[in-house]
Amino acid sequence: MRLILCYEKIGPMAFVAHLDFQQLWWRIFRLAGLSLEQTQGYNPRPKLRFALPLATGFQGENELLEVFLQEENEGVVERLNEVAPKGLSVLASTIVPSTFPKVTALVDALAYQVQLPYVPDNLQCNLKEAEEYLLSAELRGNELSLLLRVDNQKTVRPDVVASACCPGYDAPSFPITRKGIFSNKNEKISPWPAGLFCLTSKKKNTLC
Amino acid sequence: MWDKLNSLLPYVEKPARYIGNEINSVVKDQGEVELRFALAFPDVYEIGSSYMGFQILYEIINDIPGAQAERVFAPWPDMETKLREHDLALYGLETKTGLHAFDIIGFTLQYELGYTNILNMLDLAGLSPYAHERTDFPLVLAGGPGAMNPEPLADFIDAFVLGEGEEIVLEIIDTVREARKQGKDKGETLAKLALIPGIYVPKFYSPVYDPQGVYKGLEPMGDFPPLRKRIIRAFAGLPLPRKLVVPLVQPVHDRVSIEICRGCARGCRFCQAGMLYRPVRERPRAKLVEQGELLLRNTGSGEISLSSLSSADYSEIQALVETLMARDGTSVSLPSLRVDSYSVELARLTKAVRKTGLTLAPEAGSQRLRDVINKNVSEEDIFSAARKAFESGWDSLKLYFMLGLPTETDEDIVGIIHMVRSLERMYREIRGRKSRLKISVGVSTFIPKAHTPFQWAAFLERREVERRQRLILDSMRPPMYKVHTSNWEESKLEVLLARGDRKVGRAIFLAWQKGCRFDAWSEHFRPQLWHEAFAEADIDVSSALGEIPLTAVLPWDHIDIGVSKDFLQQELAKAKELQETKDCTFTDCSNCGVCGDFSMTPLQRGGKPKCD
Ligand code: SF4
Ligand code: SF4
Repeated sequence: MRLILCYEKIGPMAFVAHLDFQQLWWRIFRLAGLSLEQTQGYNPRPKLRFALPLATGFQGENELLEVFLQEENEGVVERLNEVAPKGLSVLASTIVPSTFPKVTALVDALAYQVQLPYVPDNLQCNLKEAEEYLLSAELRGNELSLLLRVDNQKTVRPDVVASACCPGYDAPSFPITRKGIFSNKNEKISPWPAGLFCLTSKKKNTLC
Repeated sequence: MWDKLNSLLPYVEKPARYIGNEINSVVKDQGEVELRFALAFPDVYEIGSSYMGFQILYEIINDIPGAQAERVFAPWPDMETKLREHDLALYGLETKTGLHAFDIIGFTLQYELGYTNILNMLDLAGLSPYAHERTDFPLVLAGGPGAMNPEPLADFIDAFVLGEGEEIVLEIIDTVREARKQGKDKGETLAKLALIPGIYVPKFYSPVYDPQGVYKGLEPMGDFPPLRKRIIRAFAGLPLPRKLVVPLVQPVHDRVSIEICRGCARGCRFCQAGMLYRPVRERPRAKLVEQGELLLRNTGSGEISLSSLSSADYSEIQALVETLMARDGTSVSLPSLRVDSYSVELARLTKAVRKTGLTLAPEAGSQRLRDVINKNVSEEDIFSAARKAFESGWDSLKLYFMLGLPTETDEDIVGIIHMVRSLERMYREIRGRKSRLKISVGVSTFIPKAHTPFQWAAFLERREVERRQRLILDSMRPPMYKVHTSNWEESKLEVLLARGDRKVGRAIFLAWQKGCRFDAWSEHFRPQLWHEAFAEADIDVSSALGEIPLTAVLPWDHIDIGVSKDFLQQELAKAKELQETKDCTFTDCSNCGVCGDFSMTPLQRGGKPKCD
């Protein structure tokens, strides 16, 4: 059974590094009594596919994870939430067919919200990467919303963009939340996974 | 608190060390909490968070209505800086309450090189490291093997807990809770605690010195029960924990461990654990299987480790391994193997060890020296174990030896080299030229430890240790061999702390003040500062490292571990005569004294188990 889960990683969980986070998921699945399919090879391990790892310290409100369960199961979301620690909860799950694209291939843009330490005068940031990857930036008070393009898993870090906007501050002092993952697959795929936002049309799960 | 943490955690390495919030951690309804107990591990989270002793106490304490156990670890220096910058007290991971607001802080003393971290953790909590300067709660307790020579920490710790903690922790909590209800102050509470057998309150004992300044013992200032370690007499009925906290910064191994037996009576003469945890007791197999399965289920782990000082000696080890292996998706590991083919056969059964390689500890390179230390392992045992390993497909082998043991000569060192070479030849014969053998050889330096037959022995001087290490290093080069030797300065400090008296406390304080922390971590270890500290504390280091006369009063003589000093002396004499003392669980009692002291019937394991 192939599933795409939408989950949040907030509060204390934001500080769990990606590798540890992966192990935590394995543990949660086992505690929930859900068996994951194993990877092939010399050292098999449960197969998990994250849309794009979240940097340590960032919160994520609509993260995507693709998993393969050995058996058909009911109530996966509830069972996982029952054992997950505070700050990690599964919001929704979508069953997808085996022909469905990998979750990593769905990522075309990322929306972040950055709490700036002060309200900058203007949104001029002289950053080469920003030109290349920044799709939109919007400032409301000291809250900066960024939409960053992802190209072959390459993008620019939101803290780098924010630092460029706020001279005199170093990156870790900005609380950063990834609001969502965007895809431009639009109508081409079905089912549209819960928690994935549409980049090109505003029809489904629009966020911006 | 969480807001403040949020603003500093992004700046530290591995911030998940400081957030708590693990699966199976316990946060009670704070309105009902009457007593707060911090289980304090004086090392970093990854090292301390899987420590079984605390996992067990955590559950026992949290099972008591109204008591909240929290965990706290030594913050890494980057976090220490941040806490100090923001003026935040070191806190319990569960509720983020500052340690100063606890009723009890209980440290575990697993190794001596964590001692400066204890002082630092108290300081980070806004408490004085010196017990006499802390006039109010929290009470600062310490237990674990280090508490069996408590004197170096006597100035800092309010009360030491001697021996096994599962029962006494309940008595401590009852006493403290009662005292708090009656509004008793710290001094009055300590006086009550001192009446519990197994509690040692150092301020109620004053050291006596003769006119020459030689230590003559401690004078109790009141009527207290004897300072004898506690043991769990009904060990077979002692339940395993039901759950384990699952660390968020993953330790290397993802496994639950169950203690199948306690104690080891093989009687290696350098081994402190072997003396401290006597007598040997076992848990029944059926219980281990049943409770082990529950633990696996509640913890979501796929591997179970059968822990004890000598797992292969457990009476029904093979049947236990087989039963657990039969469980779907469970692998089994054995952390402590004997050096014989039976143990290797067991390890082969478990498969889990295959990934990590096989570990054997012959400890000494010659039969003569193995007889001295009572490591009753023959050349034949070693080679048959290795043969079995190679035939079963292992390509990596870890061997542990000790250097600087009493009576050691170059011949014994050459013995190590020969043994490793012969093993390598054997491997080629069995596996052919093309296969790749990886041998890692761990050579630690002998540390004379309190309460062992070798407690009186000298610690070898630097030049000799390093010369002998060179002999080994020069003849075993990478990439085939990976040799690890101990840093002499670190071993030296271990000796000074492990055999120290009350005066050593001053040196620990000075070293901490000068900036020593995490002494067990080579990147933080600063021998020069320790050197200065010992000099300023006016401690004669060279005589502290030398041989101690048998007639001397030892700084730990007042701590009764059940094993008699006479027995230790006899063992020392037998070492010099190359005489063996057999494991009393397989043969007759050798009268170490512990079973008599605790009115225990000695465990009999019958004949030595043979495989198949
Ligand atoms: S076998 Fe020897 S070294 Fe190992 S625990 Fe027992 S007495 Fe100690
Ligand atoms: S008293 Fe005898 S049986 Fe008991 S542990 Fe000591 S040597 Fe073994």
